[in-house]
Amino acid sequence: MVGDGSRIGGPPGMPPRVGPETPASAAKEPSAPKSSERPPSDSFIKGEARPRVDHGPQGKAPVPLGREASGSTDLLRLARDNPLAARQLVGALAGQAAATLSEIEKASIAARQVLEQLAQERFAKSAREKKADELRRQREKLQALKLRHAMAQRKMALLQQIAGKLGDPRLDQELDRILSHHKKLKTAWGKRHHLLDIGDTLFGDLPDTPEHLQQVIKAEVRAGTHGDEAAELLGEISPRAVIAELIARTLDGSTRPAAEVAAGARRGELGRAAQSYALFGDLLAQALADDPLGED
Amino acid sequence: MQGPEILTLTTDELAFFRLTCDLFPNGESPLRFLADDEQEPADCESLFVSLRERGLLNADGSGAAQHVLDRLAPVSECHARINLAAQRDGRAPRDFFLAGGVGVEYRRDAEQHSFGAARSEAALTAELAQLFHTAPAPRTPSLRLSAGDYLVFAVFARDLRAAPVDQPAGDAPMSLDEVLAYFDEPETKVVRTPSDDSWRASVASLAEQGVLVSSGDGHALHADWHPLARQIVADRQHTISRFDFLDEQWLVREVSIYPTEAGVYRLGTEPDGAVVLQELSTSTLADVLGNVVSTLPNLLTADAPPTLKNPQLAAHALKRR
Repeated sequence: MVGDGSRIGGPPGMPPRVGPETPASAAKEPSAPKSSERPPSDSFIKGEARPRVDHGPQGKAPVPLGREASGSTDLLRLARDNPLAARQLVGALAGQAAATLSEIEKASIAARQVLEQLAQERFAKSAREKKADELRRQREKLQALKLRHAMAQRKMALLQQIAGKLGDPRLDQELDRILSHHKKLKTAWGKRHHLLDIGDTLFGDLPDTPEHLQQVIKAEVRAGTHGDEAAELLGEISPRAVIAELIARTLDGSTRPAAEVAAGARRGELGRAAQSYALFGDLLAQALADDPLGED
Repeated sequence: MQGPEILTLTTDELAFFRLTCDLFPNGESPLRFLADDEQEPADCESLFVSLRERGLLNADGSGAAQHVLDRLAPVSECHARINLAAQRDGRAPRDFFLAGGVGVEYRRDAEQHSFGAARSEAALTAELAQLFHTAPAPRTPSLRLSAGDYLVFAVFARDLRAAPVDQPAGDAPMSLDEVLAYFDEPETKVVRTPSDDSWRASVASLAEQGVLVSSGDGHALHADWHPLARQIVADRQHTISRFDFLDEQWLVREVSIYPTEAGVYRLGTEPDGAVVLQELSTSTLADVLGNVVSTLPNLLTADAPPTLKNPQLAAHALKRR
């Protein structure tokens, strides 16, 4: 629980989502540890703080998809569990998109006819007033069709590009634990070690994630018409970028005062991802202002 | 953004193109305000004349010319956004908006809106790569370190920075006790933190990887790492991010790159938690940027590519397997 008692990831001022929810431990079954890839001196950190689940002799446990509350949940599940059905759905969406495109072309021609008449009159005020209602209708029709087309394209892209093979980043689920652990640390070096050591929570974790998706993060964004603002903010407070900066500042001993994160993001107005980033960002901001290896 | 290929339009001119049904900004578009505020052009007749004189209207004057549409559409009906943010270089972040594999840079200065040329993702990758001066081959190996190992690496780097520049390499090694002195303040037992044994193991691990060299009764940073260790790198951070707007889920990819006099480095964390220090050569920089900039492949097709890396390198890797 954070702040006013609302749950991290939940919408502001609303009770937590109700629905089938897997236990936290089961929802985040990480893949088998890549012990051979880790330096030997790392063994003291991993494994104990976050126990890994034994996947048994088959090597792979059934993979829960985790909590996904958006309308895309079913699509992702479908793509993962039934690629054939997903391909069929993509085909259907492509058909819909083509039909919508054809409607867009028709509507564009109709609008263009009106606009050609206006152009002939050099967009004179009287001509525009005469055609204003008709042009508005045409524009609104085109707007609606374009929105429908874009939604179909995005659903297709979601099915095709992720295909259910991308896990949710663990930051959402582990943020409370991270914040509470960090509070308990007393030394500057302990705090810096802690932040450098939790980089893996920023990523999703599924055993069969293809190589090119391993560095991709899924972020639930509820931006409505404020997508531009949300993208700007997510870029500014991205924990991966700030941790990269932390790595660099640990090396060169420099510090910088951090900027305030928009309160709306902290309240969850732009969705779960921005909220987690903002809450985690406060911790990272404090770290950026300190040099853990410098003299007091 | 500068150069003759930039198209600059005023808010009023954009409102004119909205009137002519050439602009339908979606929720993620920076032009969204035109729709939200239902912006109408103030003086259509004079706008019509000036836009036609500038060659920005189509043949019959009923809307935007194709070359204008090519720039407006990816920004107003974007499916993805690429952002380049540089720390403290005094320049504003650069934003590229993408639709259908075509990207256009967009920037707003009050009522002036600048649109760069439409370019493919490959051209965009090349343009971003040209911002960095890489060596054909890296001088230092890639390092993947645990958090503890990285702190020890930083301790040696900081020790080197404190030493005179003309001091011969390995002339003032750090003993284990000196390393441990950085971490001698006791830490809580509630959270797992490294112990003295762990720090010793980190020194041994770095020595084994050739990052540290044994010298006298201690260790020193290998000379290959001196140029990086002696520089302030953090203020040169360049972060390139891509956001794909898919339904309610966005996909985020990003990389942080640090150009230095010694070379270009990628610093960051990996999905397994490792801290990465990678000097980028010309081809690895192209791969790293391509991984962020390129549209993700369709995984539902049987011939989905296993990687977004440079196709030649990917083919080479497949052959080696």
